[in-house]
Amino acid sequence: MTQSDALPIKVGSVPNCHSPGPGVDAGPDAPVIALVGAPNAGKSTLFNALTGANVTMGNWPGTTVEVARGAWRPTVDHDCAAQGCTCTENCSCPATETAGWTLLDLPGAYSLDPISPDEALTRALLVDCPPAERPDLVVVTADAANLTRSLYLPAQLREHRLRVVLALTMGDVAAQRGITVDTAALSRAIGCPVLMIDPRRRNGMGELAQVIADQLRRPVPAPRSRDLSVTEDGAEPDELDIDDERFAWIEEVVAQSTHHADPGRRTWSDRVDRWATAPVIGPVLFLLVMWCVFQITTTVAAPIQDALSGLFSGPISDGAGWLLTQIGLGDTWVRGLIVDGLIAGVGMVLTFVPLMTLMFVLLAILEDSGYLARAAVVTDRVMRAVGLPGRAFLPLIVGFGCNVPAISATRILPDAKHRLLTALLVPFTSCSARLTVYVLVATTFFGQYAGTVVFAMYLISILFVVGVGLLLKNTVWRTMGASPLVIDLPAYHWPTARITAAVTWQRLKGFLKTASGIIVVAVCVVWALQAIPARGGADFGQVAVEDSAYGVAAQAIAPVFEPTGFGSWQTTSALVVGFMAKEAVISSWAQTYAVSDPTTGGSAADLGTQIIASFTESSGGHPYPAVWAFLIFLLAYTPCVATLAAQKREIGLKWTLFGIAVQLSLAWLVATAVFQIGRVFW
Amino acid sequence: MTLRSAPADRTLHLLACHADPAVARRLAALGVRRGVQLRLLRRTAGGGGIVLAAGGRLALGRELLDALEVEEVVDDAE
Repeated sequence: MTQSDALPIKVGSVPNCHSPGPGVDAGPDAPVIALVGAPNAGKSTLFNALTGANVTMGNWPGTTVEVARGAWRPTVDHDCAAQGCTCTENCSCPATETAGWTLLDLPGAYSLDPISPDEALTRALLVDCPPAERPDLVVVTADAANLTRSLYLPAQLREHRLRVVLALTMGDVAAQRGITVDTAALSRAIGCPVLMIDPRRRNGMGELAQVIADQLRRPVPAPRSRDLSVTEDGAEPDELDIDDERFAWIEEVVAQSTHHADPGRRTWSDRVDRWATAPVIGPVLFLLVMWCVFQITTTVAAPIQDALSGLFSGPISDGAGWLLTQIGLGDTWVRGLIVDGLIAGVGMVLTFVPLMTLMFVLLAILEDSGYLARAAVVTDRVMRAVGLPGRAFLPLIVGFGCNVPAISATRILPDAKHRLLTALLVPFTSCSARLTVYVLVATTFFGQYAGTVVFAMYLISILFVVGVGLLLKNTVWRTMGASPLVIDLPAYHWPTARITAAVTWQRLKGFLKTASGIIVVAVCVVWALQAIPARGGADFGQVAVEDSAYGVAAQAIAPVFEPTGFGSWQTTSALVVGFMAKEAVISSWAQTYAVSDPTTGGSAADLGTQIIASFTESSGGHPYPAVWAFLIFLLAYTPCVATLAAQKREIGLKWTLFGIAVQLSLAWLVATAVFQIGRVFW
Repeated sequence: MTLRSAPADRTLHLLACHADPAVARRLAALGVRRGVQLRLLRRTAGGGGIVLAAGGRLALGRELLDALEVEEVVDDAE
């Protein structure tokens, strides 16, 4: 690992904690409380428990680091002195009051020595700025089951003028391992309040609020005293000496406050890891888990989608049509715009929500259970082969849900080149929007084997990621190395419904926020292009699809796809729409064939019949190789506009355009090869 | 010997870390530092291993296992 380009942020180059920011807070004068802690210590779970839905997320100004900000208004004991009350004995002041605090969920950090942009921001906001600009209080979450390691960050924080409260989590895991922590002794030893909480079950939240309220009423404590005397040879203490003192202090603190009944005892997690991370069984188990995820996604989401699409294509569309008829617009282009454009667009977005929700739920369960960390270990060797660290697996797996948050997830990688390479590979992960097209096409052509065909597409997606990664690593980034694998394995535990729901909602909200507007606009634009007459002299909104601006443009592009076996203009136009939003492919297909849209209640069989006929004709009687070529082209050619916007934000316009060029070229070449070779045998 | 060639499930004493300084500091923050006792719990896919250190489990890659110099702790009772 080379010295990262994410070295400490320059003082003053980013706003401090007290600067007004967009979104939710408790008011301009409210105390600011920062939540910090190592990954997997329950920090974000605690943040969600304290703020509920009263939260916004966004990049910290001047950085690409995402920080959540929320308002916490707990009930705490009323303190007459602190409130300036001129009370006498037996005063009538209320016993409790509602506090108002702004909470910042800072990125996870193991220490204040940063190796990533996230950790650099945490350091900048906590200690590099002047004391007056620091948070009013810092809550550090620490894993009670791994106290020695967990106290490194609090030890560093106690070396600065900060109010610190240590919130111990994972008490249940500690108990299972025979570890007991005397919080009172620990508090005396480290010089700040310590309490045990359980943010998953929301235990200890009231006590935490009271401790924070009490600390905020007191002056900022002095930093802990350190024994950094001059060394034996008279030299000033260096970094190693500072670290030695820090670790000696931690060992002393742990010895005073912790008892471990059986340090060598194997845990339940150890027993499961014996299989989950084994050299042969581990990868097999990983593939099995992924196969189950995608099987569940295809079989469970489909009927829910059908029910929802029926609602939009039926009562909602009919109702809108009736209303427009009442006001004299029933037979005009306005009806087309509203029913076939806006309602169809919104309906399409909401129809795909069940599929994406299911994918996000499954990913959240894998994450919360602790299995995803093991999957990163199992896939590390493969990732390293393309020059990426095992952690790069995480953004890629998120990409299988949606490419948009996956691009943002590349921020967990400390090295800029790794982030760039991963962001270029994310579009090759087959997102759930493409899944809708896979399911329709696979069901149409392969019947009962549709699930296996879809699974094969995900394997091909992985091959593309590895192949393109190798290509880029051996051409553009020949000298790029990968950070060594270091993953802190959390204990396995049963996922909680509340956390799964919260994480799912956040991801779904992100998708709806970034993609829904674009999708609705895309559907309206397609409708408009199909309404504009390009030949034939028909009126606006009355033209046949093939004579519209949309049809003429698609027919002009279609010859490019003749070598791929799917060179019909209807398929070409659907792919053009897919550039805007993959979810729109099926709807636009239905529009070009002038059949009912199966995503809004129309018959999939009607569209399927048209597609079979089209592929049979365009492939010269070899529809199956053409179908595989089409599916592979759809997988690889370019992500949707929302993903491109996210890429531009993370890696810049130049690299985004580079990515588009690579994807289009590769998709066409591979699709052509698949069809030309496949037609010989099939 | 290096941690990669060390026997699994034995108490080991970390003698030195020959990794990049930034990596070494991060390992130290995670409880893997010169002088501590640790244990290689098992080997993982890709040639790495899971190490028990400071009460926590760390998955380390093959290159890091090669960079950690250890010796086996001999029980005095033996």
